[in-house]
Amino acid sequence: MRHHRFFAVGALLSLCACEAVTVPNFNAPGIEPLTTAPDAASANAAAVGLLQLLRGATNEYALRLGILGREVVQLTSNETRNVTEMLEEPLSPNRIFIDFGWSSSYRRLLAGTILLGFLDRVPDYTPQQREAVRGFAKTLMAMALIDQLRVRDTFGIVLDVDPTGQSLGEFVSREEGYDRARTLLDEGKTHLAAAGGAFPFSLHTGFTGFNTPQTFLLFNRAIVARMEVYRGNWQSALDALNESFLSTAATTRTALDAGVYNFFAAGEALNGLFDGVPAAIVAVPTFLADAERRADGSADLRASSKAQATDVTLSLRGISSNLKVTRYANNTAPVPVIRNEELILLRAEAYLGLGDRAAAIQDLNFVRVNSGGLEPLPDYTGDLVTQILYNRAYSLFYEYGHRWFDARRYGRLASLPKVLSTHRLFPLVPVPSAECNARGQQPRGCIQVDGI
Amino acid sequence: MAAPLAVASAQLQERHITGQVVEAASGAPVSEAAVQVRGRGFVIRTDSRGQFSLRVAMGAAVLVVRRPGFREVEATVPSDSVRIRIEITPSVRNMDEVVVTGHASGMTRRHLASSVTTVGADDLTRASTVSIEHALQGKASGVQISQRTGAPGGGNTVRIRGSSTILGNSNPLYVVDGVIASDARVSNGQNIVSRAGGRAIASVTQDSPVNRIADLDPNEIETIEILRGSSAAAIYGSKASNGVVLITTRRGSAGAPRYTLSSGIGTSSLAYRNGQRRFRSLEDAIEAFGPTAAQYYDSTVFIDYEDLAYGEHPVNADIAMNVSGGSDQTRYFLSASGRKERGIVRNTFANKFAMRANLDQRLGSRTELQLNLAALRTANDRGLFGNDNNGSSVAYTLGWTPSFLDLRQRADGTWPDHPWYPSNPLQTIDLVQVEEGVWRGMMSTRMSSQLLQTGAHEFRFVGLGGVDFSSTRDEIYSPPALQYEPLDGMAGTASTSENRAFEGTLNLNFVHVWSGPALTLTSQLGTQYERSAGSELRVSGENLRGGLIAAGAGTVPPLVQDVRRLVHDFGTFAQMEVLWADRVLVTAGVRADRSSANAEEARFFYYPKASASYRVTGPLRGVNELKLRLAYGETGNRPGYGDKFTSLAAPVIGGATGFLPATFRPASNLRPERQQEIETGVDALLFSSRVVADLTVFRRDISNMLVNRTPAPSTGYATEGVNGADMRTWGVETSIMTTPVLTESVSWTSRLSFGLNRGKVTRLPVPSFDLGSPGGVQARIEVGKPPTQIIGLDTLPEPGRKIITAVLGDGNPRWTGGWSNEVRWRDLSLYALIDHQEGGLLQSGTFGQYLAARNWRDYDVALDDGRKLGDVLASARVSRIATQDATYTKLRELSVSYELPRVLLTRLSLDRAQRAQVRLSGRNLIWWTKFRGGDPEAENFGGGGPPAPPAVQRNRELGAYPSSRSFWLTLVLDF
Repeated sequence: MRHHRFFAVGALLSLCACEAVTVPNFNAPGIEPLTTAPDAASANAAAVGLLQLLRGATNEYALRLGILGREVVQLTSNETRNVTEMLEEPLSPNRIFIDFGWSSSYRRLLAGTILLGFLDRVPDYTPQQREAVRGFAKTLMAMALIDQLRVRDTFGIVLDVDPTGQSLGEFVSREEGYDRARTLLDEGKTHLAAAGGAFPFSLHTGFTGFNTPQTFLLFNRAIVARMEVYRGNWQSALDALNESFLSTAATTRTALDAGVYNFFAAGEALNGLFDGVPAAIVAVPTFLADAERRADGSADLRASSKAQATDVTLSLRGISSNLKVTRYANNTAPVPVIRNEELILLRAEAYLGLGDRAAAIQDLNFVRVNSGGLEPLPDYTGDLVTQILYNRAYSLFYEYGHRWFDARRYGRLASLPKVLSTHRLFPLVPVPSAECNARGQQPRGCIQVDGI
Repeated sequence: MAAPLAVASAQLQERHITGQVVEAASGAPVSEAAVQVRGRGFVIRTDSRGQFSLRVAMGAAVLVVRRPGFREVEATVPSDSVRIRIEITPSVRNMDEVVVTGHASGMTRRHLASSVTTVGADDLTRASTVSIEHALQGKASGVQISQRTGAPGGGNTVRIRGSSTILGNSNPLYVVDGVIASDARVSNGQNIVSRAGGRAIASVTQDSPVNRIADLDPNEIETIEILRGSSAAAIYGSKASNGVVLITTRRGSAGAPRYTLSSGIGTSSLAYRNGQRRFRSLEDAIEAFGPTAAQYYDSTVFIDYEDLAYGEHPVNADIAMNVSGGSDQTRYFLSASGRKERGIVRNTFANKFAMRANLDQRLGSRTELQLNLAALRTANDRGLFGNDNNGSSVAYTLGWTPSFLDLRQRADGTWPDHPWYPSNPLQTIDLVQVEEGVWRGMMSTRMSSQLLQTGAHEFRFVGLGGVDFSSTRDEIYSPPALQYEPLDGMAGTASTSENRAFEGTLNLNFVHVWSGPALTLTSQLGTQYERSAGSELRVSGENLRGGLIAAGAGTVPPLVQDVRRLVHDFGTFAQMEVLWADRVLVTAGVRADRSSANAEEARFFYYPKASASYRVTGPLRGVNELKLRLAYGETGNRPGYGDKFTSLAAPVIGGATGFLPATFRPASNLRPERQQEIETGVDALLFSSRVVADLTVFRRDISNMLVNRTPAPSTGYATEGVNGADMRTWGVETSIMTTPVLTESVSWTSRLSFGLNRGKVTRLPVPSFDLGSPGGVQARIEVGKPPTQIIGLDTLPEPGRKIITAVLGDGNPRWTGGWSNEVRWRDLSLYALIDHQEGGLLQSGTFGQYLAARNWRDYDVALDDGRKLGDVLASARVSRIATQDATYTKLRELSVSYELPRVLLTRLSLDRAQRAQVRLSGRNLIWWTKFRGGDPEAENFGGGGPPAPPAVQRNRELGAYPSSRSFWLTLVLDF
């Protein structure tokens, strides 16, 4: 009997399944602060998160579009696809570098949509603080749309992101895309106007001078001006510029550089555009030679200050360049989002679009003289578009992929230096294959772009 | 006073018997057979004429005779007899060995209803190796074992019956003496230097980690059993879908202390050479390396960089000692071993030391207790190899180093910079430290107690518990002087990691056996509790102050990584086995499992199994035994820790923390993948047991497979998990073991194993998707196609040379097989194992670098149309050219051993030695392969998870440490 008892007790012990154990996530915070009962602290953090995505996109535009626009080349011997896929071969949806900020833009829209969705439920925000966050978020969301409109152009983009992930946003035309961006920016303006004197969260030093709702509005209007120039609404652009931080009061470098920047710091994120050796990134070989000369015969200051010949020559697949990019002094140098020099050039463009050549030349000269150290244009009768493209290329070199997009929107892609005659120039970029694969009806952008 | 009396009376009551042990068929005497009197501790051995003599108690005595390679025999010496002749029959596979079929039960192989491969101690120590998987290569049918890297210290991938998952864990479960053992792959933190996985300290997919089963010492192992899904089903439930490898360590047997000393010395050398291009003219050099080549080109210089980088012929050594013995009450096995191996690359090595004590103690007449203790120490430096993103990997750099360029260290101790690549490989080898040290303890205890025995009934309790704990420290140091170091503006990089892993097991089982005249019924019921925990703590240092070695010397804010995991698993297991008339075995069982890793922690998932076998003896002339078997089992592949969580990304910008939804969205109802496996087969013993053959056909249906699909990026998410893909795999396995020749002085044993499997994705809840980086080599998961299908870029023939994405083939080999032969002639034995893989695809990154650099050995080979082969290949897309057929044949093991004759032992004053063997052995001595670039077994992503899951992304060689062939001279002494 003793054994029977032992057996029975043991059997009971072993069969009684102890309570199921719940193990928490040790390694990452859960999504809950953004889904259930968010408070001001988590809403503030969600707003700051949008800045991270803005920063994360700098490489996509300055470097990737910089390669398409023949500002720089990336010659990495163990990753030849930087040349084969970007310069030599047709672009198709399944290539490695096809993203061009697509994912990051929609992640920004998702994060913004989630943030806007719960703002009303944040108990410890004042109504003004809610408006401030709305204005801020909508401005950054509009920028995400504009970024992709530049890249995909007539292929169109997706406007809406479903925070539950259940449905896919529809592809819309370029025009509808710009309309939505403008709407968001204008709503942002309204929100910012009702936002009181301060944001509930603190903006990093890249926003110095633009870190209150009132001053942030100047930035919002600068973005409006940029997108209106992109779509040729010259008067709207001019109107927006007048409300922006455009200034020709001072002629100094500091005045030209005034604007909004992305922030980098060791331990957070480093400026991936900096290549101090250089080990991979060099300017296209013709960058210095194509620059205009100053009165003393030396090169345009904007060229000589942003790239210089060194004894390090990088070569790959027939491309050789010894032009080290000096645009960024170190790996924590801030990267412009938009700055005064661009605004002045945008105004020149808007004036030209409205037929006011004299005003356009005046703005161009301001930049040529103060930024490039060049002689002002005389009574210029030549092609001003060429002048605008030249000045934008050298003023805004390696900042945001301007050169490629500018050449494209004026239909002057062929004017870009190909580097090798076998290389290709692409007018626009296909939609990534993951986007194509997830949709029954293939968006227009799911095709190969052969380029010219 | 009682003791001496007892001894005296025992002496009085003993008698002397003599005997001879012979081989049944030939009548040849069998030497070295162990003869033991049942119930008595000591063992004596037969001499060279097969003869023995011993004292036994008065009355009838039962003798037990054992010898490796023969079936165990019991013979009764009648009380009136003083001389006996005992016949034993050889068995290439011992049909009487007991194979695990439940947590507390086993079954003799004779009756087994499913296919289980057993590899014994003899086969594990043929040629010294660091990791036990090497010793299994080519020995188990249908088990594919690949050496992911040639680096000292191991790093292997084991696939049993092909892929049974896409993204889930694809490694078998390892169980040592009943306790789950960690086979974790833990990154060493070299990614902070190589940047292969971006700027992070560690990348488990890229850092080619050792899998930790390499810590075990092959010398301590008695058997390794490989359970497939159907047989593992109810035993290991939700952790068994990749198969289970059961390792049993050696135990003592009663008798006088028996010592074994095995000591070896060896060396190794580079097994495969890429060679280099001989640049015939300055024009060729300039074409390849640009105009600056003119400064360096010298047509008279040819420096063999593989000689310089991989040319070491190290002196390696291993030593293993053990002693075993004991009494009826207490038995022991104690062992200690050490192994020092240096790599073919300078400054690389792998050392290991192991100690073990296995004790068996009887507690009264009904209870037995086992205690197993092991302490293990492993240390290695595997150099800076594998993939990189900054030009630091030695194997890649060699591809970009032409023979005319002199990068050797200057007389003043400085190193020239590589003019066309970011690193000087010789400098990297000289200065980089990639050191890893592991301390590991394994402890287990097993209590078996007979609770009740009445007539036909027996109740037993079997309790088992144990832990496996390891602590790993990694120190990575890349000093500022290295050419590539200042390139990122931060000269000098270091990382330090402390990683812990813990596996704990507790099993409680009750077994009831009912034995009738023709029927035996074994029932068992039990619970299993398992706890698996781990942590990784890492810190990086960059821009090292004063070039100090410690990560703390970094002058930029360090990266810190603190990652933890914890999983509780609980299972209940019930099983019944019915054996009828020694002919029919029917088994049915079920395990219910729940785990904290599942989305629903409290929910039980059920894993049933059922099997039957029918055995006939002597059905036909020449057929001794035939067994038909059929088995069905369901197993699971449970999610890993943390797979179920939706997390928040929390980046820091300008010192402020931002919240963002993470880019991964997990499956909403994450649960284990389920595998239903059915297998049927036949086992046969033919021609007086001279031939043992088995044939198994299996089919697996895997459902609820987790796929991490890439949703439309416009959802804002980069990946999301979906439980719900299905796959079907089928395959055939066979093994044939024969003893064609067996005479008194000559024997020849041959073993053949063969396996193939084919997989097909049958359902996907998402559109087809690709894994891996676009434009490179990817796995395309597509309905109706193998999960291992490989796609890549291909160039259509001219004109146009349009580039398309094409299916390059199936990464899974068409078949694998091994063939071993052992011939003994008197005291001399020759053994060879050939291992073959047919098909499979592998992208060779190393070859790709040689080609991209126009530095490939055969670059200048002229084609019919006058063009150079290299020009043609280099202009085509790399993914097609570098992705090659991975068929290989390797002479995996070769050994010649000689049993020193008695006379010689006497002359050497080794009188006390029972046996002395000298063995000359080698591993991976000869390869036959058309694969270019390195070892066709290499797998860069063998260690990882998404986005390069090893189950389907095996097919990448990316700058692997080159493989070597090794040679050993070993002396084994038994006394």
